[in-house]
Amino acid sequence: MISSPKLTPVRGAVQASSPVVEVLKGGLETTVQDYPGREGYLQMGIPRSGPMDPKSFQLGNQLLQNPADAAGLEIQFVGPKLKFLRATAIAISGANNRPKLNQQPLPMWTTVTVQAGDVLSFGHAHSGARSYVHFAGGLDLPVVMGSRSTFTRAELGGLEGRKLEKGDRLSSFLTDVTEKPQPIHHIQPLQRPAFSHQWNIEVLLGPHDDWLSEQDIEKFIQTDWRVSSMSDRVGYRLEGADFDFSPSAHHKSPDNGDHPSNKIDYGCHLGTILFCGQTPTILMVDSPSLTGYMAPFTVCQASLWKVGQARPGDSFRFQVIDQATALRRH
Amino acid sequence: MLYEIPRYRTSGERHLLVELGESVSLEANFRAIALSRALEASAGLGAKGIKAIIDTQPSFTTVLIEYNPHLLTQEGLKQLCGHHLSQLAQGEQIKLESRLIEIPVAYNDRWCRACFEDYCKTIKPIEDNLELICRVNGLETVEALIHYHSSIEWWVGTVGFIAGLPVLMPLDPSFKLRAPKYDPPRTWTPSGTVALGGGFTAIYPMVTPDGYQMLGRTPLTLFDPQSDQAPFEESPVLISVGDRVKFVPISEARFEEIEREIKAGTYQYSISAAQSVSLGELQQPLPLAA
Repeated sequence: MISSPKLTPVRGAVQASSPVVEVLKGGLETTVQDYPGREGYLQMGIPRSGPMDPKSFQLGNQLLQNPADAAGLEIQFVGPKLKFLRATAIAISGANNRPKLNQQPLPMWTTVTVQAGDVLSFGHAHSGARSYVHFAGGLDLPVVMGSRSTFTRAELGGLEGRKLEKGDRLSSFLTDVTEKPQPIHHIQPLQRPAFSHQWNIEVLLGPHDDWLSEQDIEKFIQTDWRVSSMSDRVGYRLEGADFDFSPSAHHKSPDNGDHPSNKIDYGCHLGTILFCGQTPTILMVDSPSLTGYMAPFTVCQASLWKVGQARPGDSFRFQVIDQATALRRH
Repeated sequence: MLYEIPRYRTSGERHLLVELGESVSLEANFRAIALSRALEASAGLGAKGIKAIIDTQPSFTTVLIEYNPHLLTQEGLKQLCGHHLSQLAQGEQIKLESRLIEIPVAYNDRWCRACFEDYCKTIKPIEDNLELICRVNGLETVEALIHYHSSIEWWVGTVGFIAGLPVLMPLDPSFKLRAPKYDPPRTWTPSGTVALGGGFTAIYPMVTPDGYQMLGRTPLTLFDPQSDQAPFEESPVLISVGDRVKFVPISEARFEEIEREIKAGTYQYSISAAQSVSLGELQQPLPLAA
């Protein structure tokens, strides 16, 4: 349930909020997310959720000088149409989906002041899959299990655990910023994530690289992988090559199952690259916490945003790096 | 069965997968759960301390650990795991805190039958789930199957996949009940379904695709992140890893009655206080009186 808006602005430590937008159209799948989402609930089968592109999302909050855990909207492919109910400052980050305010092009990667009655709409992005709308102060929704992020499969967090629909109203926390002229912030083009249709993804070997042959590992690295249309916030499926697997995958305890990719159920997480039969599948923010498929590679933290921005039909090349290199990217 | 030295598998720069054995056993699972609990209790490192250890997910033969590599190196984490594992009692002496939870089940119920009929109509015709399990396991009647499935205590070996879904292993070593999985899997399963796949029983907290053979349905809520009422005041999941489950056959009429009681907040969940139990004690078959 959305918390009842508190209409009296209170300055200082107490956080008051009031309605900021009404949803005129929901878009394909627009959800409330925050970063880093839910931590510490794998054991209950609750995924992290949060933004698919954490890099753009965090930059967006910085533009508004929002707290790091401020909640915003994630737009996937087809954007919503939003009417502002009061003056505030916003910032739009992520894929360039041609935002418009009252039909006029609106710049991204900068702070923008909007007035009551203004209408925000979107076109289509040519590259990248997800865009973010941030509101000064962040969206006010109940914190469920440590986060405001929406996990639609369990109807958890966000606005009633679901994507936005026509008629919804969202509140944002009141900040001083909304009542005086905006200091304008920009993120310069070189500091923005670079969008593409060919993505280079860095991975670490493991946990089950010993279940592939050396030739399989070489093949994984040399293949131009194509992102399948069956890719979403749960996982990204890839098409491009078949594998032989190593003797360890063929000769194993029968508890593992029949296929060489089958493994006794074990814990998995955001970034795990499962081999579901012959189909590599990168687990994303809403993934299950257990799997019965082996995983020879794991996407490094610094490359996760690229997977989250890839569109079906885009291509992936993988590069294996070591732990120390991965940590230097943080 | 168990490795002498656990296999440490790198799962990205923030996760470590600790593998304790190569096949499924209660002992491997007890050790996995014990390691997970010891790590979470590691003074100062866990959620209440510096958050060097962020999360653990125990399963049948493994523990997945999420850690902050800037606060704790992978080498340091391996040493910590090695230390905790060396402190555990060997074999059947190993002990865990465990609760016993009764789960009422309407076996062979009309909701699962409707789901089965939908599969037969829209995907392909298959054998009745309970009759198939009877045939595969040499049981004469569906009643005998229901009696058998509800006669033992089940051990919660892991919880995951989707919000609060427990996967259970039989505690009685003489208990043998197996079932093949759907091929292809179902696109949906009613919430509360109790189902058998391989030698495991799973309970589905919400509507979800799956391939286990459906046995029946429980009216109990398994996942409630909003409630501050018992039994959800401390955890959003009803059943946690390391609990035990006893299924209690009920009628469809009683199912609907319990549903109403849950809605009204008057239903009394049957959950025992946590007790320290050893693997050896738990593996004694229950007296057949009930």
